[in-house]
Amino acid sequence: MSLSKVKLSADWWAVIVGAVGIVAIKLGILTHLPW
Amino acid sequence: MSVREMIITRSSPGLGKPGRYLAYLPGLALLALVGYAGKVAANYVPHMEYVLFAIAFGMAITNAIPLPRVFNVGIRTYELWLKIGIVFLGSRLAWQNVMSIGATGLCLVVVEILISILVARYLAARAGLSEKLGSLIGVGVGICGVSAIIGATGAIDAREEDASYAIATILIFGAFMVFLYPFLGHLLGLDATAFGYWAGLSVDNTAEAVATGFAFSEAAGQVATVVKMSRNALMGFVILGFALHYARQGVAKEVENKALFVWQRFPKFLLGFLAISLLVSLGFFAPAQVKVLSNLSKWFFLLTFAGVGLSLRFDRMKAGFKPFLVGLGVETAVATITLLMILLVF
Repeated sequence: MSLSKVKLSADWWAVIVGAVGIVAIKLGILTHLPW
Repeated sequence: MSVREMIITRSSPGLGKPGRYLAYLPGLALLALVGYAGKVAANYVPHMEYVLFAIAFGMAITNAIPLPRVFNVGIRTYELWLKIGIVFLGSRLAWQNVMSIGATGLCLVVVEILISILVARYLAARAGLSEKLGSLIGVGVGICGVSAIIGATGAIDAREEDASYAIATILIFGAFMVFLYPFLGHLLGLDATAFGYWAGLSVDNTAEAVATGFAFSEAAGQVATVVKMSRNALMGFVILGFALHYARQGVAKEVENKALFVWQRFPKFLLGFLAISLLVSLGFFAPAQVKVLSNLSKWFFLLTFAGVGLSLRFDRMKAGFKPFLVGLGVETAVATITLLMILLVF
């Protein structure tokens, strides 16, 4: 696997996790997360 | 350590078959443990951010105890957590602020990159190092640390040894800056905005730049991240410039599709960060939901900073005396000139 593909993968995975987080929050699945 | 090993060590691994996920667990558990220990320790020491503790604990563990290999694959994921943390950080910055900081940062970044590359090439020539090693150190300091060096190495057909020296130099200074910069920032009486610009402009690697900003304060960390993103966004253009330069000299391959070349090196996670910032500014989320997004960002950064510390193995950082001196000269020049620019602008 070339380096550019590895990097692309991590970048897009970050975007995908962000999108999943948004959906989870809007659906009320993730309503409270303390810090 | 070869460039290939460094690439593997520094890059987030691709996600493969389900069975492989188990291999990530020991390292991930260690990241969580070290990061959380840093968060707890910060509660007991006033005026100290958890970032410094997480990195310091990680460094202490990895340099004191030979960690079993079973932890390596999980620890290496920290750059993925960094990117996810930055995507969710979009919730903590209003769209207008992102655009404002990004635009100002972009102007300062162009000057910073030029200084870095010119000083590195000049000092490398004076030290008798190869022109390509000078270019690699300049690209590493000027733009995005390790990612930029790896990208430029392929584009300009640099020697693997040169890339190893350049990467080691960047990592040594990156580790040093996380602790030195907040101290200097407080000593110089910088406010959060000025310090954030300084860290974002002059700390080499993205994880270290973000960590340095947050080590100073929450607000400084946000500014440092946006400014660093401006630097990263220019990576493709600068590497393209070098690729074309060396191709004209006949010492590197021609670039066939320039737009694709730039897009391949564009940090795509930046799009996620911008999207979340825009959605929050448009009122798409309730305040309680924004709080959850913001806390998600903090938890992912906690894993990241633990990973930064756990990856800093001093026995692997053998930069060589001359590349180290050139790096020191470039870092000092860039830190000083960017600080002066910031003091003039703010």
